[in-house]
Amino acid sequence: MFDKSQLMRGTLEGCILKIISLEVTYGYEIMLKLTGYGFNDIREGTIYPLLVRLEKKDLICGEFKPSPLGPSRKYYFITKRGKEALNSFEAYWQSISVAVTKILSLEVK
Amino acid sequence: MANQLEKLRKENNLLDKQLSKENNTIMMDMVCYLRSSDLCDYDIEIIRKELTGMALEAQLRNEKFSDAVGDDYKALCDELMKNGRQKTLNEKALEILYVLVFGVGTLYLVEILFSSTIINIVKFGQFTMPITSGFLVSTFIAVVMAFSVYNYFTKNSFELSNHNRKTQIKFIIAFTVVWTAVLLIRVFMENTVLWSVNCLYPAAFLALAFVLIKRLEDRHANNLLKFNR
Repeated sequence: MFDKSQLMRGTLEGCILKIISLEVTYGYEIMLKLTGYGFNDIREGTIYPLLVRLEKKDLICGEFKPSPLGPSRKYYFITKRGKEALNSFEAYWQSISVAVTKILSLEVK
Repeated sequence: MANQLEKLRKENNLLDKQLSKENNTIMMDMVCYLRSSDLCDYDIEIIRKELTGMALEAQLRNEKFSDAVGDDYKALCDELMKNGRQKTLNEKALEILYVLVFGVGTLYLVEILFSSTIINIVKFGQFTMPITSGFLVSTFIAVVMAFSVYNYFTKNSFELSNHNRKTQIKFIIAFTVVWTAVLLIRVFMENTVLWSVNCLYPAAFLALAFVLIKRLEDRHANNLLKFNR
């Protein structure tokens, strides 16, 4: 069986960066957006370690703000380095997605 | 300047009170397990704050915490340990020194209060304290034991919270045996005096070392907070 965790991690990191680049947001909202776009089986627990990792790499930064539900939430912003990483992810994704689609569309002889 | 890490801890303790009993147990296991890692204390408290926030929001949505983060809490902690900022060598050394000075200081105070030294001080105004090999060996064992227990509890927090009766009994027996041994060593080596010191000198040294380490830790925690803001 194909181990999807490695592929998911890299892909999700790029997608999270994109979502955060569009607006300042928090973990649960990012999770809802990802599931809305078709990433099934995603939970806050899936993306939280990735947010910690992105923050450690200084690609995003977080700030606690009060939430209407009660406990304060950490809202994430994209950094300059994050924007650069997102641009390179987008360019790389375009190139490999074309190549992978071509290979997967080959007919078995 | 108050330690910002302590403030964050207090904030988290208050948040914990809003958690349901089930979620509180899960959070305790997770935080305990995270403490066994090389993540720095400040980051552990930030993670704790965020996870508690997730649990509280899940409660408000009438969901289980496992619906929000999955039911493999240990795997989530392992992921966080892998991805979070690790302690530097300086931070590790400072942490070990803090525990060491605090532990040895406490045992030293106990030694003064529960030996002939206190009688000499009160009755004769003499501060001379005999340092016996019993005191040195039992202090060493007690400190090693304390480190081992801490490591064992934090690394096995999930397994221990399952209230495994056998493990609990084994632990109680081991604990009793080691502490009895420490006490016996202390008593039987009572007369093997290595040298005598004025008990105020080591006390002053330990108190000074404690204050210095605490200040360094506070300064480091406050710097981290400024950096993270």
